[in-house]
Amino acid sequence: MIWWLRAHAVTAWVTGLVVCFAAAPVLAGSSVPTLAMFSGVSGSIPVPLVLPVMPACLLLYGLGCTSASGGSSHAASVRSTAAWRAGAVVCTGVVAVVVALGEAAWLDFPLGFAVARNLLGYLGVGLIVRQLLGVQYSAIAVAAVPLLCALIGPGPGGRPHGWMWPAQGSGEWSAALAAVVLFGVGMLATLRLPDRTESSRASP
Amino acid sequence: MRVKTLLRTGSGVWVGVLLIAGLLFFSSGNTDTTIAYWGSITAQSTLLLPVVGAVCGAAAAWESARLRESGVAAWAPVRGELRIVGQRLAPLVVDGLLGIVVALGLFTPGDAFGLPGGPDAAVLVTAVVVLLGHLAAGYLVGRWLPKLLGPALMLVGGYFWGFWPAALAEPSWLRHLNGQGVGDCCRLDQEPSLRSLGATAAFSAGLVVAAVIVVVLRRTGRRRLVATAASLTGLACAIALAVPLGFGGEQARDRALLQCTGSRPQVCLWPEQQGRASEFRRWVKDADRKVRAVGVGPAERIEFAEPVPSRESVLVEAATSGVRLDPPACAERPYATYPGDEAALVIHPWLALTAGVAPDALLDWPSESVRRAEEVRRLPADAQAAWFARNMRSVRDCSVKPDLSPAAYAHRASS
Repeated sequence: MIWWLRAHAVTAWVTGLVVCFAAAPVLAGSSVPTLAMFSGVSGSIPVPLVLPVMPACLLLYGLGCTSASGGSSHAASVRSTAAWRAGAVVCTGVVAVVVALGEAAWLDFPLGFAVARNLLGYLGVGLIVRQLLGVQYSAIAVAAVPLLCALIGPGPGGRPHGWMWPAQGSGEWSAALAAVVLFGVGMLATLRLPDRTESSRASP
Repeated sequence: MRVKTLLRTGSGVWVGVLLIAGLLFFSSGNTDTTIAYWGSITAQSTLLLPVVGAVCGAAAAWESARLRESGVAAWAPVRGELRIVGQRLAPLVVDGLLGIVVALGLFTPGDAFGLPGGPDAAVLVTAVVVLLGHLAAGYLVGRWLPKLLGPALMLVGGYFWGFWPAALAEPSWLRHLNGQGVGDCCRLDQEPSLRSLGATAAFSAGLVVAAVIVVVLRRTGRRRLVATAASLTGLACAIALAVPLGFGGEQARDRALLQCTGSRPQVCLWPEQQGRASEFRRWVKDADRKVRAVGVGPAERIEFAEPVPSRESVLVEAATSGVRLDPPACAERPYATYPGDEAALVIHPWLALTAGVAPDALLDWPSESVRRAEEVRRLPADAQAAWFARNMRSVRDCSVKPDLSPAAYAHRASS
C-alpha cells in the first residue's frame, strides 16, 4: 500500500489539497481581475475558485507518474489498477466536499462548496483530456479552464455567464450539476479507456 | 538545426496559432479608454502583455522539461547548451513578439496613421523584456518541475502575476514590477513614466540573467548561488525604483511640444490636436466673447484634454476655465456645511448655456439646475453679471448662502 502511495505521489496531492483548503478561507476576499476585452464589462473571479487548480494538477501528476513507464504494465496487472486510481480520485472528491462543507459551516466561508465543486469539475476535465488526448496534456488543460473563464470575462451586468460553472457562487445548482457530470464522465473515461501516453501513440 | 525540423518538433507553431487566434477572438468587445495619442495607445496595449507572457512562459516550461527529459546534455552534444536552449526557445520569442504587435494593433484606432510620432519605443522595449522574463522563468520552472506541472504553474502563475498586483491597493508599487504600471496612462499632457518602465525592465532582466547563468555555469553549487544573487539584485533594483512611484505610472510630457496662440485666453494645443486647431480657436473665441458680455473673465491660458473634442466640450471648457468652481478648503472638513454646492450646480450649466451650448446637450447636470440656469439666462446682461458675482461668493465661502432665484436680480436691474 505504501509503495502504491509513493509511486503515485499521494503525499504531493494530499499536501496540495490541504494547502488549497487552508488558503481558500484566508483569500476569500481577494479577486483576480478579468479582462474586459471580450464582453466589454470588467469583472473579477474570486481567488478561492481558481485555487483548486493546484490540487487537481498534483493529483493528475500523481496518476500520471506510473503511466510514463508505458500503459503495457497496467494491461498486464493482476489487480485492476484503473479501479484503484478511480477509487483514489473518488476518495479525494469525497474528502474535499466534506472539508468544504465543514469550512462553510464553521469558518463562515460561503464559497466553501464552490471550491470543492470546482475541484471536482477541474478533475473531471483533466481526466477526460487525459484519456482522449494524452497524459501529458491533462494538467495544462486544467490550468486553461479558469484562464479561459478569465479571458471571456463576465456576462452582462457583471455576473458570470450561466454556463461558466467555475466562476459561479456556491448556491448555483447548474454549476454543481455541470461539475458533477464532468467528474462522472472523467471517472468513466478512466475506467473504460486505456491510457494514452506518448509511447502508446508512437507504437505501430 | 533546420528551421522546419525545429518548428515540427516544438510547440512554437501551436502556441503561435492559439495565442494570435485567442487575442483576436477575445478582443471583439474592445473597450475604448484609449485616446488618439500614441503614448496612450502603446501604454494601454500592455494590458494584454500578461496573457502573452503566461502562454509563452508555459510553452517555455514545456520545452525546458522536454529538454531535460531527453537528457541531451548527457549524450555529448556538439553544440553548447546555451545554443540548444536558445534554438528551442526562439520560436516562442517570435510568438511573443507577434503577440505584442497584435496587441498594439488591437488598441490602435483605424485613423491612427495620421497621428504625429509613433508607438512609444520605451514601452515596446519594456514589453519585450517582460516577455523574455516570462520565458526565462518558464525555462527555470521547466528545469525543476515535472513536464506535467511546469506549464500549468506558468500558465496560472503568469496570469496571476500579471493581473493581480494591479488589483491590490497595497503594495501599490507592485504593479510597476510586472509591466502593468503604465496601464492607466495617458492623458495628452502625460507620457508613460520611464521610472516605472525601468523598474519592470530591471525585474525581468534579473530573471533573464539568472536563467542564462543557470545554463552557462557548470559548477552546480556556485551556479545556484550566482543565479539567485542575480535575480535578487534585479528585484532589489526594481523595488528601489518602484516604491516611490506608488500608483502613478505617468510622467509629465515635454511642455515644449505645446503650441500656444492668442492671449487672454491663450489657447495651447498638443501636436495631436493641431489638425483641428482652427476649430478650437474659433470656438474658444465665440465662447470668450459671449461670457465676457455677462461679466465672466477668461482664464490666462486653456489646454484641452481630448484630441478630437466636440463643439460642446470645447465651449464648456472655454467658458468655465476662468471660474473656480471646485469646493474651497472649508468644505473639505468633516461635517462641514457647504451651501455653495447648490450654487455651483447652477452656475456650471449657466456658463455652458451662455457659451452657446444647446440645453438638451447638458445631460450631465440635473434637469432642475438646467431649468434654473435657463431662467437666469432670460435676465438682462448686467442682472446676470450681478447674479453670477453674488453666487460665486457662496461658492468660495462656506458661510455665505446662495441667492439663486432670478426674480431678485430682475428687480435690482430695473431699479
